[in-house]
Amino acid sequence: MNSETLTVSNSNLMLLVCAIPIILVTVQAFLFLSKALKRADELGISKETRKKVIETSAVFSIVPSLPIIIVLAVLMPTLGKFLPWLRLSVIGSAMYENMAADLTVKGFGLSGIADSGMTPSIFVSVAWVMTLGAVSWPLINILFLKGYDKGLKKMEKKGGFMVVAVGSLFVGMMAVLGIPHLVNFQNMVGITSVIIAGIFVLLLDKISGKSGIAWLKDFSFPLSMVIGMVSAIPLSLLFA
Amino acid sequence: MKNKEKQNLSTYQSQIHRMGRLSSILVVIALILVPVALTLTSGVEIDISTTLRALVGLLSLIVVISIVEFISYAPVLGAGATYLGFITGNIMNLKLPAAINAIKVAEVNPTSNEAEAVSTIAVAVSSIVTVAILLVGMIGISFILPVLQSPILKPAFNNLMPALMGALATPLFLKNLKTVSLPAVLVAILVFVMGFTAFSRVQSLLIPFFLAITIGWRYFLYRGEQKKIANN
Repeated sequence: MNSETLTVSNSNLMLLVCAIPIILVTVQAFLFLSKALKRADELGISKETRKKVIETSAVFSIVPSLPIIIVLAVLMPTLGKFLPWLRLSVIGSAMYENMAADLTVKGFGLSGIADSGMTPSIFVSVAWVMTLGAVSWPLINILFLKGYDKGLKKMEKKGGFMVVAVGSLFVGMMAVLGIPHLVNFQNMVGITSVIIAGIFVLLLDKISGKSGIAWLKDFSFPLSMVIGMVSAIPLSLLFA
Repeated sequence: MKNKEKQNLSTYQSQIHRMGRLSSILVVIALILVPVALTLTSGVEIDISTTLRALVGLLSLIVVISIVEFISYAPVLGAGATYLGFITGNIMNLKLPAAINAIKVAEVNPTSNEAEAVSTIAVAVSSIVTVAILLVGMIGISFILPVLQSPILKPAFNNLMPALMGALATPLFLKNLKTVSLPAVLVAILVFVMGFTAFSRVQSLLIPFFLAITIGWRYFLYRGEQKKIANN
Protein backbone atom coordinates (compact mmCIF):
# COMPACT_ATOMS: atom_id res chain seq x y z
CA MET A 1 0.00 0.00 0.00
CA ASN A 2 1.37 3.44 -0.77
CA SER A 3 2.28 5.70 2.13
CA GLU A 4 -0.39 8.25 1.28
CA THR A 5 -3.14 5.66 1.75
CA LEU A 6 -1.49 4.52 4.95
CA THR A 7 -1.64 8.08 6.29
CA VAL A 8 -5.38 8.17 5.66
CA SER A 9 -6.21 4.66 6.87
CA ASN A 10 -4.08 4.77 10.01
CA SER A 11 -4.92 8.34 11.01
CA ASN A 12 -6.13 9.35 14.45
CA LEU A 13 -9.41 10.42 12.91
CA MET A 14 -9.86 6.90 11.54
CA LEU A 15 -9.17 5.47 14.99
CA LEU A 16 -11.78 7.79 16.49
CA VAL A 17 -14.58 7.16 13.98
CA CYS A 18 -13.97 3.41 14.07
CA ALA A 19 -13.92 3.31 17.86
CA ILE A 20 -17.36 4.98 18.17
CA PRO A 21 -19.44 2.13 16.69
CA ILE A 22 -17.35 -0.45 18.56
CA ILE A 23 -17.96 1.31 21.86
CA LEU A 24 -21.68 1.63 21.03
CA VAL A 25 -21.94 -2.07 20.28
CA THR A 26 -20.15 -2.95 23.51
CA VAL A 27 -22.54 -0.75 25.50
CA GLN A 28 -25.45 -2.37 23.65
CA ALA A 29 -24.20 -5.84 24.55
CA PHE A 30 -23.93 -4.89 28.24
CA LEU A 31 -27.43 -3.37 28.20
CA PHE A 32 -28.93 -6.51 26.65
CA LEU A 33 -26.97 -8.62 29.11
CA SER A 34 -28.33 -6.80 32.13
CA LYS A 35 -31.86 -6.81 30.71
CA ALA A 36 -31.74 -10.53 29.96
CA LEU A 37 -30.23 -11.35 33.37
CA LYS A 38 -33.08 -9.51 35.04
CA ARG A 39 -35.58 -11.32 32.86
CA ALA A 40 -34.00 -14.68 33.69
CA ASP A 41 -34.26 -13.82 37.37
CA GLU A 42 -37.97 -12.99 36.95
CA LEU A 43 -38.54 -16.29 35.19
CA GLY A 44 -37.03 -18.17 38.11
CA ILE A 45 -33.69 -19.13 36.59
CA SER A 46 -31.32 -19.46 39.54
CA LYS A 47 -28.34 -17.21 40.08
CA GLU A 48 -26.10 -20.23 39.81
CA THR A 49 -27.49 -21.15 36.39
CA ARG A 50 -27.15 -17.57 35.17
CA LYS A 51 -23.52 -17.59 36.26
CA LYS A 52 -22.95 -20.92 34.52
CA VAL A 53 -24.40 -19.57 31.26
CA ILE A 54 -22.14 -16.50 31.41
CA GLU A 55 -19.03 -18.56 32.11
CA THR A 56 -19.58 -21.25 29.51
CA SER A 57 -20.47 -18.65 26.83
CA ALA A 58 -17.34 -16.62 27.61
CA VAL A 59 -15.02 -19.63 27.62
CA PHE A 60 -16.48 -21.05 24.42
CA SER A 61 -16.24 -17.72 22.56
CA ILE A 62 -12.47 -17.37 22.97
CA VAL A 63 -11.32 -20.06 20.56
CA PRO A 64 -13.62 -19.30 17.58
CA SER A 65 -12.73 -15.60 17.92
CA LEU A 66 -9.03 -16.28 17.32
CA PRO A 67 -9.24 -17.09 13.58
CA ILE A 68 -10.87 -13.67 13.08
CA ILE A 69 -7.49 -12.18 14.02
CA ILE A 70 -6.03 -13.99 11.01
CA VAL A 71 -8.57 -12.30 8.72
CA LEU A 72 -7.63 -9.03 10.41
CA ALA A 73 -4.03 -9.71 9.46
CA VAL A 74 -5.02 -10.42 5.84
CA LEU A 75 -6.92 -7.14 5.50
CA MET A 76 -4.53 -4.89 7.46
CA PRO A 77 -1.71 -4.46 4.92
CA THR A 78 -4.16 -3.05 2.36
CA LEU A 79 -6.81 -1.38 4.50
CA GLY A 80 -4.76 -0.21 7.46
CA LYS A 81 -5.35 -1.04 11.10
CA PHE A 82 -8.67 0.48 11.98
CA LEU A 83 -11.15 -0.21 9.16
CA PRO A 84 -10.64 -4.01 9.34
CA TRP A 85 -10.80 -3.80 13.15
CA LEU A 86 -14.17 -2.07 12.92
CA ARG A 87 -15.56 -4.22 10.15
CA LEU A 88 -14.68 -7.44 11.96
CA SER A 89 -15.87 -6.20 15.38
CA VAL A 90 -19.25 -4.90 14.22
CA ILE A 91 -21.53 -6.97 11.93
CA GLY A 92 -18.55 -8.42 10.09
CA SER A 93 -18.23 -12.12 9.66
CA ALA A 94 -14.71 -13.18 8.78
CA MET A 95 -15.82 -14.67 5.49
CA TYR A 96 -18.07 -11.84 4.41
CA GLU A 97 -15.64 -9.00 5.09
CA ASN A 98 -12.88 -10.62 3.12
CA MET A 99 -15.25 -11.09 0.19
CA ALA A 100 -16.61 -7.53 0.40
CA ALA A 101 -13.14 -5.99 0.38
CA ASP A 102 -11.95 -8.26 -2.40
CA LEU A 103 -14.99 -7.61 -4.58
CA THR A 104 -14.59 -3.86 -4.23
CA VAL A 105 -10.88 -3.62 -5.01
CA LYS A 106 -11.40 -5.89 -8.02
CA GLY A 107 -14.07 -3.49 -9.23
CA PHE A 108 -11.32 -0.87 -9.30
CA GLY A 109 -9.14 -3.01 -11.50
CA LEU A 110 -6.81 -4.26 -8.78
CA SER A 111 -5.93 -7.95 -8.67
CA GLY A 112 -7.28 -8.49 -5.17
CA ILE A 113 -6.98 -7.50 -1.57
CA ALA A 114 -3.19 -7.97 -1.55
CA ASP A 115 -2.62 -5.61 -4.52
CA SER A 116 -0.15 -2.83 -3.73
CA GLY A 117 -1.90 -0.36 -6.03
CA MET A 118 -4.37 0.74 -3.35
CA THR A 119 -4.80 4.53 -3.51
CA PRO A 120 -6.49 6.79 -0.92
CA SER A 121 -9.44 7.18 -3.30
CA ILE A 122 -9.96 3.43 -3.63
CA PHE A 123 -9.58 3.09 0.14
CA VAL A 124 -12.42 5.54 0.76
CA SER A 125 -14.58 3.69 -1.80
CA VAL A 126 -13.89 0.38 -0.09
CA ALA A 127 -14.95 1.95 3.21
CA TRP A 128 -18.24 3.07 1.62
CA VAL A 129 -19.01 -0.28 0.01
CA MET A 130 -18.12 -2.37 3.08
CA THR A 131 -20.18 -0.13 5.36
CA LEU A 132 -23.29 0.14 3.20
CA GLY A 133 -23.19 -3.60 2.53
CA ALA A 134 -22.92 -4.42 6.22
CA VAL A 135 -25.81 -2.27 7.43
CA SER A 136 -28.24 -4.60 5.62
CA TRP A 137 -28.38 -6.81 8.70
CA PRO A 138 -29.39 -4.25 11.34
CA LEU A 139 -31.68 -2.51 8.83
CA ILE A 140 -33.67 -5.68 8.31
CA ASN A 141 -33.98 -6.04 12.09
CA ILE A 142 -35.10 -2.44 12.50
CA LEU A 143 -37.75 -2.87 9.82
CA PHE A 144 -39.04 -6.40 10.27
CA LEU A 145 -37.98 -8.11 13.51
CA LYS A 146 -40.81 -6.81 15.68
CA GLY A 147 -43.49 -7.97 13.25
CA TYR A 148 -41.78 -11.29 12.64
CA ASP A 149 -41.35 -11.92 16.36
CA LYS A 150 -45.02 -11.14 17.00
CA GLY A 151 -46.04 -13.59 14.29
CA LEU A 152 -43.81 -16.31 15.74
CA LYS A 153 -45.13 -15.73 19.27
CA LYS A 154 -48.69 -15.95 18.01
CA MET A 155 -47.94 -19.25 16.32
CA GLU A 156 -46.34 -20.65 19.46
CA LYS A 157 -49.34 -19.57 21.55
CA LYS A 158 -51.58 -21.70 19.39
CA GLY A 159 -49.77 -24.64 20.94
CA GLY A 160 -49.95 -28.16 19.52
CA PHE A 161 -47.76 -28.72 16.51
CA MET A 162 -46.60 -25.09 16.29
CA VAL A 163 -44.47 -25.47 19.44
CA VAL A 164 -43.01 -28.70 18.08
CA ALA A 165 -42.34 -27.01 14.73
CA VAL A 166 -40.32 -24.14 16.21
CA GLY A 167 -38.36 -26.63 18.32
CA SER A 168 -37.48 -28.68 15.25
CA LEU A 169 -35.93 -25.60 13.60
CA PHE A 170 -32.87 -26.06 15.84
CA VAL A 171 -32.44 -29.60 14.61
CA GLY A 172 -32.93 -28.71 10.94
CA MET A 173 -30.45 -25.85 11.16
CA MET A 174 -27.79 -27.96 12.84
CA ALA A 175 -28.29 -30.60 10.12
CA VAL A 176 -27.47 -28.05 7.39
CA LEU A 177 -24.51 -26.62 9.33
CA GLY A 178 -23.10 -29.80 10.87
CA ILE A 179 -23.69 -32.78 8.56
CA PRO A 180 -21.55 -31.38 5.67
CA HIS A 181 -18.44 -31.59 7.88
CA LEU A 182 -19.24 -35.20 8.72
CA VAL A 183 -19.45 -36.27 5.07
CA ASN A 184 -16.68 -34.07 3.64
CA PHE A 185 -14.39 -36.85 2.43
CA GLN A 186 -12.07 -34.24 0.96
CA ASN A 187 -11.02 -33.49 4.55
CA MET A 188 -10.69 -36.75 6.45
CA VAL A 189 -9.17 -34.93 9.44
CA GLY A 190 -12.31 -32.80 9.58
CA ILE A 191 -14.44 -35.94 9.77
CA THR A 192 -12.35 -37.32 12.63
CA SER A 193 -12.60 -33.95 14.39
CA VAL A 194 -16.40 -34.07 14.15
CA ILE A 195 -16.50 -37.63 15.50
CA ILE A 196 -13.94 -37.12 18.28
CA ALA A 197 -15.60 -33.89 19.47
CA GLY A 198 -18.98 -35.65 19.33
CA ILE A 199 -17.80 -38.65 21.32
CA PHE A 200 -16.10 -36.46 23.93
CA VAL A 201 -19.14 -34.26 24.52
CA LEU A 202 -21.25 -37.34 25.25
CA LEU A 203 -18.51 -38.82 27.39
CA LEU A 204 -17.98 -35.68 29.46
CA ASP A 205 -21.73 -35.23 29.97
CA LYS A 206 -21.97 -38.84 31.11
CA ILE A 207 -18.96 -38.65 33.44
CA SER A 208 -20.36 -35.45 34.92
CA GLY A 209 -23.72 -37.12 35.55
CA LYS A 210 -22.11 -40.15 37.20
CA SER A 211 -19.41 -38.41 39.22
CA GLY A 212 -21.42 -35.33 40.12
CA ILE A 213 -18.68 -33.01 38.82
CA ALA A 214 -21.06 -30.34 37.59
CA TRP A 215 -18.58 -28.05 35.84
CA LEU A 216 -17.66 -30.85 33.46
CA LYS A 217 -21.12 -30.74 31.95
CA ASP A 218 -21.19 -26.94 31.89
CA PHE A 219 -17.98 -26.83 29.91
CA SER A 220 -18.36 -30.07 27.95
CA PHE A 221 -19.10 -28.18 24.73
CA PRO A 222 -16.06 -25.86 24.61
CA LEU A 223 -13.81 -28.61 26.03
CA SER A 224 -14.89 -31.18 23.42
CA MET A 225 -14.51 -28.62 20.66
CA VAL A 226 -10.91 -27.95 21.69
CA ILE A 227 -10.22 -31.70 22.00
CA GLY A 228 -11.61 -32.20 18.48
CA MET A 229 -9.39 -29.39 17.19
CA VAL A 230 -6.27 -30.65 18.94
CA SER A 231 -6.89 -34.18 17.65
CA ALA A 232 -6.46 -32.73 14.16
CA ILE A 233 -2.80 -31.98 14.88
CA PRO A 234 -1.54 -35.60 15.06
CA LEU A 235 -4.22 -36.92 12.69
CA SER A 236 -3.28 -34.46 9.96
CA LEU A 237 0.16 -36.10 9.92
CA LEU A 238 -1.50 -39.50 9.57
CA PHE A 239 -3.72 -38.50 6.64
CA ALA A 240 -1.09 -36.35 4.93
CA MET B 1 -50.49 -14.72 38.72
CA LYS B 2 -51.07 -15.85 35.17
CA ASN B 3 -52.23 -12.42 34.22
CA LYS B 4 -49.18 -10.85 35.77
CA GLU B 5 -46.91 -13.22 33.86
CA LYS B 6 -48.63 -12.27 30.62
CA GLN B 7 -48.13 -8.63 31.35
CA ASN B 8 -44.51 -9.19 32.22
CA LEU B 9 -43.93 -10.96 28.99
CA SER B 10 -45.35 -8.26 26.80
CA THR B 11 -43.53 -5.54 28.71
CA TYR B 12 -40.22 -7.35 28.41
CA GLN B 13 -40.78 -8.08 24.74
CA SER B 14 -41.66 -4.51 23.82
CA GLN B 15 -38.72 -3.23 25.86
CA ILE B 16 -36.38 -5.55 23.99
CA HIS B 17 -37.73 -4.36 20.65
CA ARG B 18 -37.47 -0.71 21.65
CA MET B 19 -33.92 -1.21 22.92
CA GLY B 20 -32.97 -3.31 19.90
CA ARG B 21 -34.31 -0.86 17.36
CA LEU B 22 -32.90 2.22 19.01
CA SER B 23 -29.44 0.76 19.48
CA SER B 24 -29.46 -0.65 15.93
CA ILE B 25 -30.32 2.77 14.51
CA LEU B 26 -27.51 4.38 16.53
CA VAL B 27 -24.98 1.80 15.36
CA VAL B 28 -26.06 2.17 11.72
CA ILE B 29 -25.58 5.95 11.96
CA ALA B 30 -22.20 5.56 13.65
CA LEU B 31 -21.12 3.11 10.97
CA ILE B 32 -22.11 5.37 8.09
CA LEU B 33 -20.22 8.21 9.76
CA VAL B 34 -16.98 6.33 9.08
CA PRO B 35 -16.95 6.69 5.28
CA VAL B 36 -18.59 10.12 5.60
CA ALA B 37 -15.77 11.38 7.83
CA LEU B 38 -13.19 9.80 5.55
CA THR B 39 -14.68 11.42 2.46
CA LEU B 40 -14.89 14.85 4.08
CA THR B 41 -11.42 14.89 5.61
CA SER B 42 -9.24 13.00 3.16
CA GLY B 43 -10.01 15.38 0.31
CA VAL B 44 -9.73 12.62 -2.27
CA GLU B 45 -12.05 12.34 -5.23
CA ILE B 46 -14.09 9.20 -5.33
CA ASP B 47 -14.91 7.38 -8.52
CA ILE B 48 -18.63 7.32 -7.84
CA SER B 49 -19.76 5.17 -10.73
CA THR B 50 -17.23 2.41 -9.99
CA THR B 51 -18.05 2.56 -6.29
CA LEU B 52 -21.76 2.27 -7.04
CA ARG B 53 -21.16 -0.63 -9.37
CA ALA B 54 -19.18 -2.47 -6.69
CA LEU B 55 -21.86 -1.68 -4.13
CA VAL B 56 -24.70 -2.96 -6.30
CA GLY B 57 -22.73 -6.14 -7.01
CA LEU B 58 -22.19 -6.71 -3.31
CA LEU B 59 -25.73 -5.76 -2.27
CA SER B 60 -27.31 -8.15 -4.75
CA LEU B 61 -25.61 -10.89 -2.77
CA ILE B 62 -25.81 -9.43 0.74
CA VAL B 63 -29.50 -8.53 0.68
CA VAL B 64 -30.50 -12.07 -0.23
CA ILE B 65 -28.16 -13.59 2.38
CA SER B 66 -29.24 -11.22 5.14
CA ILE B 67 -32.97 -11.78 4.50
CA VAL B 68 -32.50 -15.55 4.45
CA GLU B 69 -30.42 -15.42 7.66
CA PHE B 70 -33.05 -13.21 9.28
CA ILE B 71 -35.86 -15.64 8.46
CA SER B 72 -33.90 -18.67 9.66
CA TYR B 73 -31.97 -17.41 12.70
CA ALA B 74 -34.58 -15.17 14.39
CA PRO B 75 -36.92 -18.01 15.50
CA VAL B 76 -33.98 -19.97 16.92
CA LEU B 77 -32.16 -17.10 18.65
CA GLY B 78 -35.16 -15.08 19.85
CA ALA B 79 -35.55 -11.30 19.44
CA GLY B 80 -32.91 -10.03 21.90
CA ALA B 81 -30.18 -12.31 20.61
CA THR B 82 -31.11 -11.52 16.99
CA TYR B 83 -30.73 -7.76 17.46
CA LEU B 84 -27.34 -8.29 19.07
CA GLY B 85 -26.19 -11.11 16.84
CA PHE B 86 -26.95 -9.29 13.61
CA ILE B 87 -25.01 -6.24 14.84
CA THR B 88 -21.96 -8.13 16.05
CA GLY B 89 -21.89 -10.77 13.31
CA ASN B 90 -20.23 -14.19 13.24
CA ILE B 91 -23.53 -15.95 13.84
CA MET B 92 -22.71 -19.37 12.46
CA ASN B 93 -19.36 -19.78 14.22
CA LEU B 94 -20.06 -17.93 17.49
CA LYS B 95 -23.51 -16.59 18.35
CA LEU B 96 -25.67 -19.56 17.34
CA PRO B 97 -23.41 -22.16 19.02
CA ALA B 98 -23.19 -19.99 22.16
CA ALA B 99 -27.00 -19.76 22.30
CA ILE B 100 -27.60 -23.47 21.71
CA ASN B 101 -24.96 -24.40 24.31
CA ALA B 102 -26.47 -22.00 26.85
CA ILE B 103 -29.91 -23.55 26.40
CA LYS B 104 -28.37 -26.97 27.02
CA VAL B 105 -26.39 -25.85 30.09
CA ALA B 106 -29.39 -24.05 31.63
CA GLU B 107 -31.56 -27.11 30.89
CA VAL B 108 -34.48 -25.08 29.56
CA ASN B 109 -36.94 -25.88 26.80
CA PRO B 110 -35.59 -24.40 23.49
CA THR B 111 -38.87 -22.67 22.64
CA SER B 112 -39.57 -21.21 26.09
CA ASN B 113 -39.27 -17.66 27.43
CA GLU B 114 -36.46 -18.96 29.62
CA ALA B 115 -34.53 -20.05 26.51
CA GLU B 116 -34.96 -16.61 24.99
CA ALA B 117 -33.49 -14.93 28.07
CA VAL B 118 -30.66 -17.45 28.31
CA SER B 119 -29.68 -17.17 24.63
CA THR B 120 -29.67 -13.37 24.90
CA ILE B 121 -27.25 -13.66 27.83
CA ALA B 122 -25.05 -16.06 25.83
CA VAL B 123 -24.97 -13.88 22.70
CA ALA B 124 -24.24 -10.74 24.74
CA VAL B 125 -21.34 -12.38 26.57
CA SER B 126 -20.03 -13.88 23.34
CA SER B 127 -20.16 -10.45 21.64
CA ILE B 128 -18.22 -8.82 24.47
CA VAL B 129 -15.54 -11.54 24.37
CA THR B 130 -15.09 -11.23 20.60
CA VAL B 131 -14.85 -7.44 20.75
CA ALA B 132 -12.24 -7.73 23.51
CA ILE B 133 -10.20 -10.34 21.63
CA LEU B 134 -10.22 -8.28 18.43
CA LEU B 135 -9.03 -5.23 20.37
CA VAL B 136 -6.15 -7.23 21.81
CA GLY B 137 -5.61 -8.77 18.37
CA MET B 138 -5.40 -5.40 16.63
CA ILE B 139 -2.93 -4.02 19.14
CA GLY B 140 -0.78 -7.11 19.52
CA ILE B 141 -1.12 -8.63 16.08
CA SER B 142 2.62 -8.94 15.49
CA PHE B 143 2.92 -11.16 18.57
CA ILE B 144 -0.29 -13.14 18.15
CA LEU B 145 -0.21 -13.88 14.44
CA PRO B 146 2.92 -16.08 14.42
CA VAL B 147 1.34 -18.25 17.12
CA LEU B 148 -2.01 -18.58 15.35
CA GLN B 149 -0.34 -19.38 12.05
CA SER B 150 2.32 -21.69 13.41
CA PRO B 151 2.46 -24.93 11.39
CA ILE B 152 1.74 -26.94 14.55
CA LEU B 153 -1.53 -25.18 15.36
CA LYS B 154 -2.65 -24.79 11.76
CA PRO B 155 -4.48 -28.13 11.46
CA ALA B 156 -6.30 -27.38 14.73
CA PHE B 157 -7.65 -24.05 13.51
CA ASN B 158 -8.40 -25.46 10.05
CA ASN B 159 -10.70 -27.94 11.75
CA LEU B 160 -12.39 -25.57 14.17
CA MET B 161 -15.78 -25.70 12.48
CA PRO B 162 -15.90 -29.53 12.23
CA ALA B 163 -14.94 -29.84 15.91
CA LEU B 164 -17.42 -27.14 16.93
CA MET B 165 -20.24 -28.77 15.02
CA GLY B 166 -19.40 -32.24 16.32
CA ALA B 167 -19.50 -31.06 19.93
CA LEU B 168 -22.64 -28.98 19.44
CA ALA B 169 -24.78 -31.17 17.20
CA THR B 170 -24.14 -34.67 18.58
CA PRO B 171 -26.23 -34.35 21.80
CA LEU B 172 -28.95 -32.48 19.91
CA PHE B 173 -29.13 -35.10 17.16
CA LEU B 174 -29.20 -38.01 19.59
CA LYS B 175 -32.11 -36.41 21.43
CA ASN B 176 -33.99 -35.86 18.14
CA LEU B 177 -32.87 -38.83 16.07
CA LYS B 178 -36.16 -39.24 14.20
CA THR B 179 -36.50 -35.55 13.41
CA VAL B 180 -32.94 -35.17 12.15
CA SER B 181 -32.89 -38.40 10.11
CA LEU B 182 -34.46 -37.14 6.90
CA PRO B 183 -32.85 -33.66 6.70
CA ALA B 184 -29.45 -35.17 7.61
CA VAL B 185 -29.66 -37.76 4.83
CA LEU B 186 -30.79 -35.14 2.30
CA VAL B 187 -27.97 -32.76 3.30
CA ALA B 188 -25.45 -35.61 3.02
CA ILE B 189 -26.71 -36.51 -0.47
CA LEU B 190 -26.55 -32.88 -1.58
CA VAL B 191 -22.99 -32.52 -0.27
CA PHE B 192 -22.03 -35.66 -2.22
CA VAL B 193 -23.60 -34.36 -5.42
CA MET B 194 -22.41 -30.74 -5.19
CA GLY B 195 -19.12 -31.20 -3.38
CA PHE B 196 -18.35 -29.62 -0.01
CA THR B 197 -16.96 -26.35 -1.34
CA ALA B 198 -19.92 -25.65 -3.63
CA PHE B 199 -22.33 -26.57 -0.85
CA SER B 200 -20.59 -24.22 1.61
CA ARG B 201 -20.93 -21.34 -0.80
CA VAL B 202 -24.73 -21.62 -0.88
CA GLN B 203 -25.17 -22.99 2.66
CA SER B 204 -26.89 -19.87 4.04
CA LEU B 205 -29.36 -19.87 1.17
CA LEU B 206 -30.13 -23.56 1.66
CA ILE B 207 -31.05 -23.21 5.35
CA PRO B 208 -34.71 -22.09 4.87
CA PHE B 209 -35.25 -24.84 2.32
CA PHE B 210 -34.07 -27.48 4.78
CA LEU B 211 -35.96 -25.87 7.66
CA ALA B 212 -39.14 -26.28 5.60
CA ILE B 213 -38.28 -29.93 4.96
CA THR B 214 -37.58 -30.47 8.68
CA ILE B 215 -40.90 -28.94 9.70
CA GLY B 216 -42.78 -30.97 7.08
CA TRP B 217 -41.05 -34.16 8.22
CA ARG B 218 -41.69 -33.31 11.88
CA TYR B 219 -45.37 -32.80 11.06
CA PHE B 220 -45.50 -36.23 9.48
CA LEU B 221 -43.91 -37.74 12.63
CA TYR B 222 -46.20 -35.66 14.88
CA ARG B 223 -49.33 -36.96 13.18
CA GLY B 224 -48.08 -40.50 13.66
CA GLU B 225 -47.49 -39.81 17.37
CA GLN B 226 -50.94 -38.25 17.76
CA LYS B 227 -52.57 -41.27 16.12
CA LYS B 228 -50.69 -43.57 18.48
CA ILE B 229 -51.87 -41.57 21.47
CA ALA B 230 -55.45 -41.62 20.19
CA ASN B 231 -55.31 -45.39 19.65
CA ASN B 232 -54.08 -45.96 23.16
